[in-house]
Amino acid sequence: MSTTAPTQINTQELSEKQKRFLAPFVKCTKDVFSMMLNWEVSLVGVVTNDLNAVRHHLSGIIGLSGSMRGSLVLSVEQEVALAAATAFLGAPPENVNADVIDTVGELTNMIGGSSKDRLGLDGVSIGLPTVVCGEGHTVNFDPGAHIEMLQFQSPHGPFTVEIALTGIG
Amino acid sequence: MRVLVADDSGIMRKIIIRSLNSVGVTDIVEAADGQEAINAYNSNDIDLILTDWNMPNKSGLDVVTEIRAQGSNVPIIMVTTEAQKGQVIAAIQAGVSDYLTKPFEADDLRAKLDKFVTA
Repeated sequence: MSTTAPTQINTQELSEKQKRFLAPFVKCTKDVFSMMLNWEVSLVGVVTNDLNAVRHHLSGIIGLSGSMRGSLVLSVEQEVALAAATAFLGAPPENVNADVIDTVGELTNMIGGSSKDRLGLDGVSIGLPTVVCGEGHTVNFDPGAHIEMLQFQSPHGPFTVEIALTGIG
Repeated sequence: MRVLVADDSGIMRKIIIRSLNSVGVTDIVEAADGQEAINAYNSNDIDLILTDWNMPNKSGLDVVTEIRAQGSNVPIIMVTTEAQKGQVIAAIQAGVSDYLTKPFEADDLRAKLDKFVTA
């Protein structure tokens, strides 16, 4: 378990080291939402090492393995997931059905995959995404993982991208 | 023409199928993993394949390799998040006809389809 106390800061307060580390994830998240959904999203905050951070209703989780080990979690409110699925399908789904779950999984896959490539690390592979849903659900990371939760605002509501990595400086 | 769309994500298959429909293709066979894709190819007269890379059972790269090993020249477009140079080279060496990296804009996918879709 991480021994660092959780901190929440706005984006103007990020250190240069933090900015460099987070830049690929921020860029890839913005690109995925812009290119696939035509949504402009903005980074509004960062929470570091908060094991009790509140997540939204649906979370897509994808594992990283190889020379960098950890997880990436995209967590969205139901309204965001429904709006994204509507954009993909061309018609609104009636409820949180398989298409909506798949939408969260595929967005997670694209953010994880493109971030991995933008990091430029050889020998890192990503797994297949899984999606969990429900109010107050928890996601457990590797003990000792360094966790950064990026808080974004989209035209349809807030969402977060959480990166939990082990073995980084 | 008949097109095979292979992706373990149902929503990604629907995105691709919407784009295929927009260029006039309605005869579409779906596969949710690599083995299903190979089975579908072997039991249908397929004119174009769009396949993901990371799928359960067999990968998209396995799909390309196995279909090319049969001596087939069917056009295959890899649609994937895998964008590192080594992976693109591996896919080309395996015999993909074209490569589209996710995320993509709708126009990017349509431009790829325009190259291979025939009336």
